[in-house]
Amino acid sequence: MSTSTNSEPPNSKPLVEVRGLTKYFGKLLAVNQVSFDIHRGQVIGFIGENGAGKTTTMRMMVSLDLPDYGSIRVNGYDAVAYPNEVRRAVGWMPDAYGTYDFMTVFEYMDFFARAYGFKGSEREMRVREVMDFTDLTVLADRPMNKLSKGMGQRLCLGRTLLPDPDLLVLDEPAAGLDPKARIEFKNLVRLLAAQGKTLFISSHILSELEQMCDSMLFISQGRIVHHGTSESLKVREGHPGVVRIEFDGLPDTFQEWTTLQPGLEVFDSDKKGVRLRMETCTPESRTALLQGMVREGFPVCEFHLEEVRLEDAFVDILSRSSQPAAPPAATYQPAAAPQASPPQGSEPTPPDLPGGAS
Amino acid sequence: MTGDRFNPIVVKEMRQGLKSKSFLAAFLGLQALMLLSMIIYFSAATTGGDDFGFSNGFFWTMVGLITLILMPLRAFSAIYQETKDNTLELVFLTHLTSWKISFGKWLALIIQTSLLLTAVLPYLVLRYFLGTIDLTGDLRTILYLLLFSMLFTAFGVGISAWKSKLLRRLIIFFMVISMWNLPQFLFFASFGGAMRGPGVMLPGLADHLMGIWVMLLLMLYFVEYGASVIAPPAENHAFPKRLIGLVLMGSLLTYGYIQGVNWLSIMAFFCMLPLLVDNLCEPVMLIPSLYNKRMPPPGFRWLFFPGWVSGIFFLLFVSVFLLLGLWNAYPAVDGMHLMVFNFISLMIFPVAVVLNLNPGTGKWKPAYIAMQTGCVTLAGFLIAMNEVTHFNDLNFLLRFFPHANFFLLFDPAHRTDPQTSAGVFVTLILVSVATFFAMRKAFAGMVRLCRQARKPDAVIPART
Repeated sequence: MSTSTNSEPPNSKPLVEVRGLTKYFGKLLAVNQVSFDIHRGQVIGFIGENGAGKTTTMRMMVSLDLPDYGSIRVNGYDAVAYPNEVRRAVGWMPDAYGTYDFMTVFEYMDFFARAYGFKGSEREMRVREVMDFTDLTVLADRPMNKLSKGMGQRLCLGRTLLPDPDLLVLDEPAAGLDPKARIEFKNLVRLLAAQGKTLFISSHILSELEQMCDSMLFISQGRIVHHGTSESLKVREGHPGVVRIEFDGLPDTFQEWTTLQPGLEVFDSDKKGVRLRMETCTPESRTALLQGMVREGFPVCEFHLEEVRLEDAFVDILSRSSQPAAPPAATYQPAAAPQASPPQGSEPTPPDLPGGAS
Repeated sequence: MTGDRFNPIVVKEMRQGLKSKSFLAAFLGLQALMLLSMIIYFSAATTGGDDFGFSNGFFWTMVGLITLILMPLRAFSAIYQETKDNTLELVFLTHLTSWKISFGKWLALIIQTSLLLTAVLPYLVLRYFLGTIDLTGDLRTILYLLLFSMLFTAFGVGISAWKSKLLRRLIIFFMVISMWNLPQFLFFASFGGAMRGPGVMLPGLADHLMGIWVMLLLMLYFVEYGASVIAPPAENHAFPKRLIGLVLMGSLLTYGYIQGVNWLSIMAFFCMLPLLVDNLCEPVMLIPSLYNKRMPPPGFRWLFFPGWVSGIFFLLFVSVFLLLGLWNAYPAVDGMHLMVFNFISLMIFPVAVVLNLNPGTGKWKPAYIAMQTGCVTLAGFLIAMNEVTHFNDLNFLLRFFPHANFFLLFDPAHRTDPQTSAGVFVTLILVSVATFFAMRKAFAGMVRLCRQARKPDAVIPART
């Protein structure tokens, strides 16, 4: 779900064009042939495990690091050849911000406003405006090094917003925040997105990104492994899925039976039933599974496909990306009653379902 | 909301610096010492004596130590502190250039030093009322203290851009060691009144002005050096650094020529040495915007492109002028050209070796310095061996070792020896060939980018 409603159509010229971005640290390949576009007004989530190359990619985007190969253009400017032009278009909020000794929140904002070229009353106005927006006005006279993590993150965001940049690149902005600060921060990001800002956010809190972003980029071991909306990530036919099955009294033989079926795994069970992971979760395979269970005489009273959580999809993508040339996943075929399985290529017959199953 | 015209870094540094413990300690410490020195003056005056030697020595030593050591020491962490605290990158993303950052840091420290010196002025006036005080001399002394403090602070700011804590500490250590007799110098130079050191060394007004000019150029160079270390690779800092170097060398050689001061050509050589080493250790950045047709001045572009390739051309260019300066200063000395040719081989030798053995290496300044140090040590050892053994083959081989020749050529007999001449020339040819092989790829890339930049449609080139 996105809060942004005014992003440009994808066929317009992208604000950011990343092509074949590659970066080595010594012999370690940190970023490997990364390519993507960001259009104006989009809110993009950037997801990956620790050390996947998120921060390195972001730092190259804002011209703080040099790529070994590939190119980045921001607003049409090459980030290597024209770093100053790129830096003017980008607001960068690092995961850890540095503090200055002997400086208050207002002095900090005032210094950066000066550094961004604001003068006189215009500077004063801009600082006040941003401090109001980020709710920092009450903290104006507080020394920087006496701020909580949440306040610090708001200050850091405020500094990033001072020059009103076209693109905001936020690296783990909600990391280490308590739930209240996280909600406040999320609201700020939503407001920015509603204002039409282009945001590129990395985070580990996937559910939050899901609520804020138009699309998501998954990076693993330096490679982009998925780019699309959260829906596109979850709705991936033919990929693993979880079904919830409830019984009118859980049969003792059910778990034993599943071990004989290829591509099935019970990973959670309770008094009422089980959660079953299907290696290939298509309508056909679900139908076949249900038919098989009914045929075996299991008293199924509830059968439904669980909504894929983003975290599960993320873990799934990571596990896939770590197996570069994995063979096709095993598909469920009921082993106990092979004669009942539909012939390959034939249309599956809708099952006669007990009440409540879907 | 005042001070819009000030560099934002200066405003920030002043806000922080004036509240910092080190400044407060220096300020209060100086006030306490000044009061103490006044007590010493008054006791000298009330005991009926008119010899203020000790009082003067104490007064200027205290002022000198704070302005020449304590305040410049703060500069050694100026830029590094920002790097360490993760704040430098945030500043980079503003409209502030690396030069503004480096210059702002330096200026803020100088303003603080000036504040300290201004706080000394009332005591100066008090001393004046005690009599036998040369106020003009005192003010000149303060000016020189400030100038030297500015120079040392600029050096500190330049070095503070290094990320290596160890190297910075080594530099501070050697600096403190080399200044071990500064308190003694300050004390005895000012024993009889205002400090006479600079006045004795530079008797004429032209000398004073020249001294100030050279110091200003050195300050500019050090601050620019600091900026070049933290600057993004797409900025050409080789141009301003080398230009300052050329102006400095030109000023020293011209002044030496006009005034007949021979040692200035040697001083020019030593002033250029760190710049030449820095140039030869710079990586070549094949970023098209650096080879833009507007930058650097046409006709001299190949002297000012960043990187070691143009650094070699710059070395050759500078060597010609150094040779002319040395010939002019010491016309009676034979074989001066051999010393300069050998100097070229000596400087390029590690670059040729490192880049031929490991062409992909990015930063080789530590390797360069280590190799030079190793070669000089080896040369010293071999020369000593040769002196002891008088082994003919070793004696012959040393002629082909630029670092050994560097020492041997101080001996007039060697400079007129045909074997030495042959050795110097053969070494120069060999080193040149090796350098050519090391540089050909980078050179070809630079030529290609220069050609691209000449095309009218070369607006926003991609990185190569």
